[in-house]
Amino acid sequence: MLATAKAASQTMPMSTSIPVAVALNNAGWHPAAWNVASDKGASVLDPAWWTALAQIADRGNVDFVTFEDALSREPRPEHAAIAAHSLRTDRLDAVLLANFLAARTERVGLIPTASSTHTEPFHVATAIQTLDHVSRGRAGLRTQVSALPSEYRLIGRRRAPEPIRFEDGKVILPTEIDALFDEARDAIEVARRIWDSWEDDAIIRDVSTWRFLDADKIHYADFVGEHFSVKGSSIVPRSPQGQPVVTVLGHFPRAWELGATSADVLFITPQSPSDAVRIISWTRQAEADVARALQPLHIYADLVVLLEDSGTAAEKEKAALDRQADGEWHSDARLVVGTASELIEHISLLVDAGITGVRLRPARSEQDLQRIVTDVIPGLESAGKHNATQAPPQTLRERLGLPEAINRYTIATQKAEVLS
Amino acid sequence: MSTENRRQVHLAAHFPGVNSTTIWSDPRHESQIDFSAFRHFAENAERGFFDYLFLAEGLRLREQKGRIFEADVAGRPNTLAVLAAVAAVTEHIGLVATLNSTINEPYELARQLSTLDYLSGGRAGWNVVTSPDAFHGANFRRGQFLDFDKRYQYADEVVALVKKFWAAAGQDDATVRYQDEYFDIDGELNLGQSPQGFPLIVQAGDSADGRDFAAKNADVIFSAHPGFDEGQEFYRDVKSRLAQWGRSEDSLKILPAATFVIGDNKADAEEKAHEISLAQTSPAVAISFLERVWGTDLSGLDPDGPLPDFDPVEPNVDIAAGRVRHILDPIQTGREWKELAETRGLSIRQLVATVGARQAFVGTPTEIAQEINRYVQERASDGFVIVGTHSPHGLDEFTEKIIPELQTIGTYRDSYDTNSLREHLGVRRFNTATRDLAEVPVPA
Repeated sequence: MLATAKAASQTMPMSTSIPVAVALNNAGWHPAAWNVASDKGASVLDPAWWTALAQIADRGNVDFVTFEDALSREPRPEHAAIAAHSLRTDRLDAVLLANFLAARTERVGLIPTASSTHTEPFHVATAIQTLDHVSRGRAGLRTQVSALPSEYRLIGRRRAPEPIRFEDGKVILPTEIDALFDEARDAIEVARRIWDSWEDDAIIRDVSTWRFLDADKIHYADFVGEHFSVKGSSIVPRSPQGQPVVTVLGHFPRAWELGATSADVLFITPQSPSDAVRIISWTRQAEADVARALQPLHIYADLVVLLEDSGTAAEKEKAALDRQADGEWHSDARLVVGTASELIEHISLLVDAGITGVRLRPARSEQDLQRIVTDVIPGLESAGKHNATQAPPQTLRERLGLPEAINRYTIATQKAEVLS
Repeated sequence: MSTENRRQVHLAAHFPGVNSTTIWSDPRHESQIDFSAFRHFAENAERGFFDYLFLAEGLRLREQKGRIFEADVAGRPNTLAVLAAVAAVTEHIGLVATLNSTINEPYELARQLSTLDYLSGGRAGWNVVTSPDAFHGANFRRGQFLDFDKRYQYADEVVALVKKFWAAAGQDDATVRYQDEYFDIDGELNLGQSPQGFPLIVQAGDSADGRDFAAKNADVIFSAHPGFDEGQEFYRDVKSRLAQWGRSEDSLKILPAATFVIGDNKADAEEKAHEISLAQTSPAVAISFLERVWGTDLSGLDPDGPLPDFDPVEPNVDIAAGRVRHILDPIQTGREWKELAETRGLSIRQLVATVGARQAFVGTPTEIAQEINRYVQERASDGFVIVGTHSPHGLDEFTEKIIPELQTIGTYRDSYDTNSLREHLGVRRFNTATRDLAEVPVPA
């Protein structure tokens, strides 16, 4: 009996069971996806449409959903070749959308994008804590730096850097990019301090001393940085997870380094399994170099997926969308146009290359999310690559195998007590 | 008098705040953080056909004597985030978010309020507050950058900019360009025209600048004048300022805050009101209240004993941070309070309960409903922002007992027959042709 179990675990080790996330981006990641969306893409402003998508993910064992965001309508650099008239660029604020959907879902993690360049770090930190309260522990944050000039002009406070460009498959970065990533690192640091600023037992409701709070259990963030300073503490009591899950998307070393210093999950865009090996090994070295204090970084591969019953049908759908986009579609992430089993095969290769999760970006939000839930996730489960979450609702940290986030001040107090 | 000619009562439900109105020592107080509390509070208010749910904004925990203030309820969610979640579990009730115009950026305000309007199907509103102090600024990028005297001028610009984004949204050219000493803006909202076009604007300040700001910009004033006579005076003053903006009297609603205490008869209700007022004035609350006027540490005093035998300190020291200051001359106020306490034989706690008394409707449900209706018919207000004393059940009794009485009187709705917050309140609505607010035609 024992021997059999051991043999089974060798062929199908638990460590290869990986979380599956879905990145929702308007009507889909293909710029012409709105053509095949409900209501010709007007649905992206309809809360009922978002509810339906979120509930499909919730019931379909997707581990978490991320929500893209941008302040302006400016096309992403990789969409430069797409005719402007074929883009639809309406976007609801992702943090508010996630809070709305938290009240209409039960299990799925919810990770909205927020800008570390423009949005107040204090507001982002408290809005994500609120998301964690509303969802009972399913919140995360995806921190994004802004390099789109149009976003700077909308806020109207600071000069935009030179834009990021993609040329011949290479990313051309402006010189100011390091400062933007330093600022993002600071914004995450502030969020993490704010999230711990109330110890779990700060609310005492002690009628004998007429104190609702124990002020000794509330701490200032006291963050002073080059780009901004935040006094703290939070206005929000510590949330169910304590530390919501922090994620970062990275295409180049400075962003991978941000993952290594600050994030729980890093999304990368490997074009092949060997590319994944290269990025992961760079990042693991960065974790050592920066003396990462957190648990080892989870590194997820981003894949853009367009799924049909056959490879031919998928290619045909993609060609039709490309024609509607009136230009050639490029993505920063590897495109998988084909069947669910082809995708599963590719994911298996990435798992072997060392990735610890995948974030699937549906080319068409409605159609491809449905495929992910009905074909890909069950397929990964039978291949032993994904654990169905039939357990009662749990926190996102638990679901992703992150350790419990014990409050830093509580730890400090306990250590002091041991020493004294 | 026919029902049609009578003025309709409007009500907002104030989620319990982080102040001593909320009695945390009451075992009925559960949580002001759990989402289930917000859900219950909103569902109850919706059962009572309230116009909107009102939520304050937290920018920093209050302090006194350089220390986080322990005696009151504290801790609340991010205002916009939790209202987005409340939108998901309600269908009709308006959702009004207090948001500071000094700290928040115009573009983000426009986009977030527009998002809330989409998520709620036309139920979003913005209560504009202006405090520009360094204490709150310390949590934000720009710190303190604005003089106190300029706060309304700046707020006026911010509201104008937000409206520009909203007015242009969804147009062929939706670009907003604006440049002055504070802003250099060029771009368009990445959303279409939200269901209301312009979410509702509420204003809460009381200075002359605040009243002018409201007359120009606001659809509702959250007023600080709850008494009947001063209410009528405030009502006349503010409504007389509307004509210069081409606005009708009914295009601005005045809603003061009020609590309520229900009893089996007047005497029973008054006894309960007295108990509530003492519960709101805990020994710690009483001493800290006095300290804010005296400007010094009074923790050595007995809350059940007499007032200090010395005057408030000079110069005027504000030992509290994160609160709106109402008392302009502490020395004078201190002397008046001492005289009052001596004349009536009041302890510190009793004095604070007396002078800190909130506007309250005290009586049977019928009496309370009649009194609310009298205010509205006689133009002392257009209704009230109702504040409970505990969360989340604080307004349950209002919905169960007082709402039916108002409905019997015939000046309160018995269903939501309008769709948007602007329609609930009967204030101006967005005109898609002029891209601005327009008076609602009075039905013939």
